[in-house]
Amino acid sequence: MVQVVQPELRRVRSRIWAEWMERSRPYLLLLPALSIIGVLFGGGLLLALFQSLGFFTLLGPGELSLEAYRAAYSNSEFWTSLLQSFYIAIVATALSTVLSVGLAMLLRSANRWATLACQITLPIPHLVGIAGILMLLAPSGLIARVFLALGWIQTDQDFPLLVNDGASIGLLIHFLWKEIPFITLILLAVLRGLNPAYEQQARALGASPWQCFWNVTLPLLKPGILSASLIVFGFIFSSFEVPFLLGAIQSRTLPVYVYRAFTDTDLTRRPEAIALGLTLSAISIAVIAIYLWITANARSQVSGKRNS
Amino acid sequence: MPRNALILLIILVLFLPFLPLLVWSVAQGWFFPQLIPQQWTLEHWQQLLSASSRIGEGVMQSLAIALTTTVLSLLVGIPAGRAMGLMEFPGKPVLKLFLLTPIIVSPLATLMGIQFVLIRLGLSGTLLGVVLVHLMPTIPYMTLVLASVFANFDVGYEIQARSLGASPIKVFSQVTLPLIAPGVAVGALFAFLISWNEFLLTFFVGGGSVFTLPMILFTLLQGGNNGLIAAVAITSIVPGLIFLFVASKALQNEAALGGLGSV
Amino acid sequence: MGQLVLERLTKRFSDIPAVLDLWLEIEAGEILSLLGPSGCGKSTTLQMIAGVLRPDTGAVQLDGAMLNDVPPEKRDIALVLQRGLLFPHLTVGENVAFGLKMRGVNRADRDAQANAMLRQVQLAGFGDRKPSELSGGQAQRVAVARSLVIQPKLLLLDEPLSALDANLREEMQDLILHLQAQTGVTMMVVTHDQAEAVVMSDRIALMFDGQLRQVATPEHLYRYPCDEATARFMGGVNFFPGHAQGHRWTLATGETLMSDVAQNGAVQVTIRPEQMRVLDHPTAGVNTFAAKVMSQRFTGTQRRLTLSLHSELVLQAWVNPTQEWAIAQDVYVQLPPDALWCFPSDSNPAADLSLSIT
Repeated sequence: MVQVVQPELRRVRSRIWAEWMERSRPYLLLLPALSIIGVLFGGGLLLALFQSLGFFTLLGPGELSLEAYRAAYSNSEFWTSLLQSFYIAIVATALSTVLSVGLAMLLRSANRWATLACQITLPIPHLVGIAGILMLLAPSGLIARVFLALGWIQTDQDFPLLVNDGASIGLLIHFLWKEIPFITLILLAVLRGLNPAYEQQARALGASPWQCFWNVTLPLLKPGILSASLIVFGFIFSSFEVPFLLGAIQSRTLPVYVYRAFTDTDLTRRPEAIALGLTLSAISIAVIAIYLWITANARSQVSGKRNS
Repeated sequence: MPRNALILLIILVLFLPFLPLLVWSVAQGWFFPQLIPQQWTLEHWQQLLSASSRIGEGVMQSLAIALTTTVLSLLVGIPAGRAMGLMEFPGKPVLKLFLLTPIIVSPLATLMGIQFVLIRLGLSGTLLGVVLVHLMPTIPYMTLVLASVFANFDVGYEIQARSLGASPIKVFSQVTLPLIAPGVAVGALFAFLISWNEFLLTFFVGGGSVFTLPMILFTLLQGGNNGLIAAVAITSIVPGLIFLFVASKALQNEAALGGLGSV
Repeated sequence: MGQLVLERLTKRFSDIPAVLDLWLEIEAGEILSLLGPSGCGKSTTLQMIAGVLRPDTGAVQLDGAMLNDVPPEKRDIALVLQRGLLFPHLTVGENVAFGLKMRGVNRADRDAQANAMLRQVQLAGFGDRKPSELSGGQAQRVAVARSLVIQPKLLLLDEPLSALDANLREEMQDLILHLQAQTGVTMMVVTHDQAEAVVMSDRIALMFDGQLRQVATPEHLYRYPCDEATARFMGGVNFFPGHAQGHRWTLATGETLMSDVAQNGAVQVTIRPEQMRVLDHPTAGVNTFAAKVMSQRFTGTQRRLTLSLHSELVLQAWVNPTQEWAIAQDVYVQLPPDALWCFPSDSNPAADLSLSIT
């Protein structure tokens, strides 16, 4: 009896094992990536949280307190830098998104080389862009020289301040220069994946090119636009070196302010800096949450519209 | 015709910042308000190549870090991309979002949080430490690119190969890998470029002793040697340009980058 | 060699059964078609046989050996999929030689065998081409060659011809049957196309909703379907409720028919449309009725008539295409006793199931 039961039992056991392996396969494949991101990014955030709450300091164990957050938020410079960050990120994201939709439509039927040329800034390090824009737009830059040569201005004093300026013109120009090609690239990829039959159908039903764009193409592009602008917003909002080098000294963005606090010679300001950094991350996470909420809503309105 | 003229104008504007860089890199004492430098020189390039400038060392460090980062993110990203691109499983959207947070959320808090751990582990100020933190942005991008590569891959090829007698390892090396190779190349170039261009992570973890090209450029930009800045800037865009030309075909192709449109 | 036994095979996807309690035996050297509408579980069955899917319960046996825990590459079962799926990074010759390479056959031998195989599928000299340079039919021939060159015990074909044009399809059918006859390999064809299954197979296993409905030779399936769904899938069009008393069947509309088959109780009567005779003059003989032509459709090989009897019974008759008929023409239709078949009607499951075929 036992000899009959034994192999059957083994078979059942091996089947359960095989099923378990089959079901956990995607998780096993994701495990290395998830654990590296989890340990580095998640772990780093957690350690930052502990430090900001005073669980331990550089000097030894401490005690739980919200002192760091109180100190961080009571500083008016935090609020002005937060405002500045939002201003830059919102304006730059909105402008580059709108311009990218236009550029993508423009490039849709353009040849490969034109498309490639429009993506030139994509693989360029931000610091190179900063250098180029400084040399182009500074009061002694190339454009000021051209204006002077043309007699439009008399001295470099007449040239408007476009870098390290209060209105952050240089900063915005840099972000537009760098991010428009990025969003355009994504939108072009989405456009190429669209079935042209939808637009042909709309035209056949009597839509003008403009109506067709507004009622058919743009809604189909919407998921791509949303995710591209999410990435760009997140990037600009947390960008450090660009506002550090191109922004005005008197109006810092949040990341620059966080960095200044962190590298302050007064080491007791560290928990405050970390609390600020966490606030920065929390805002980005909140933006992702809003994005998800918007896309979930959009998806429930029109389900199965995208076919990728 | 006005359409093409508009495209041409946009291209010109996009290329504009490169113009002063190119001129400065070969100009000698290009003082305001000269429109064109009085004298041309190669001294910035000579300075760049001279051993004392440490820029050559920076190129080597940048290369070493970017290559190691690329290889590691490939090893991690291929299985992750397969799971994300080919499989449906509970919790997939949440895990995808989690994987992508490092490219959307500022790394500043994380960097400040782990700094003392890296110091204690002796990783702060080392190439290995820098590689480790560079994985934070490269793994998400790699996974994203490979997920769309796998989403366009027909698993029927693997089933076919198995039935013809290929073991799972042989299937991967002789069938799957050759078929996804173009997409893998794009992902690798992407990861290399992200690492090569990365500043903030290196700045925080490098501790002033790892000098990649962006670190050198950042330091130079706070000085005023425009000629050398321009030469270093031009040097650091070389891999990017190579990327653009090599990957131009793939950039046209929805398979490799369409994934970015559906984060 | 190549006897396949499927025992109680069951596979569920999130608790919905795709294949339920499937028993099937295929003899060595036999060609069996697994036929059914899409979504009936035939591809799932094929994947379990190939080893790509693991059955929840049940066993797959080949020549008496249990295969459940054997990985696909060690099963001696070759697969030809619908899209051919030639590896695009390899040449045609390398594709055909792929399985031999996996088995460690040296280069010279596998080139020789691959070339011989390519000759057999009439593609001699195509070895150095890339798959992208082949037409759909050529690619499918290479796929068959690639699977046969490893001399499998069992060849599984998943909708192998459905992507091909109609005339190419017949050519491929002939080629596959020819190769099968030469190699004697056991073959299982999965298809949704009943015409293809009928032409290609020794036996057909008809599958609905994850379960086998009837396993029989094509002819038997045509003439003696086990129920209305089977008859309809095999192309049946005439179904009428009636009552059977031995060989004497009375339709609900009043006609009395004589049949070769005996049955008793409430039945559903089916009449094969292509076996009816339609005449323009009265004739003596059993099962002959006066009718009117309601409509006609010319299909090339047939003329499809819709006939109305006096009782307003409407019949489909598929007849010789050369003879022309007028709408509303008075005709006589003859239903040969061997063209009649019936199954117990659903409303009367207690009807006598012991059909006697004479």
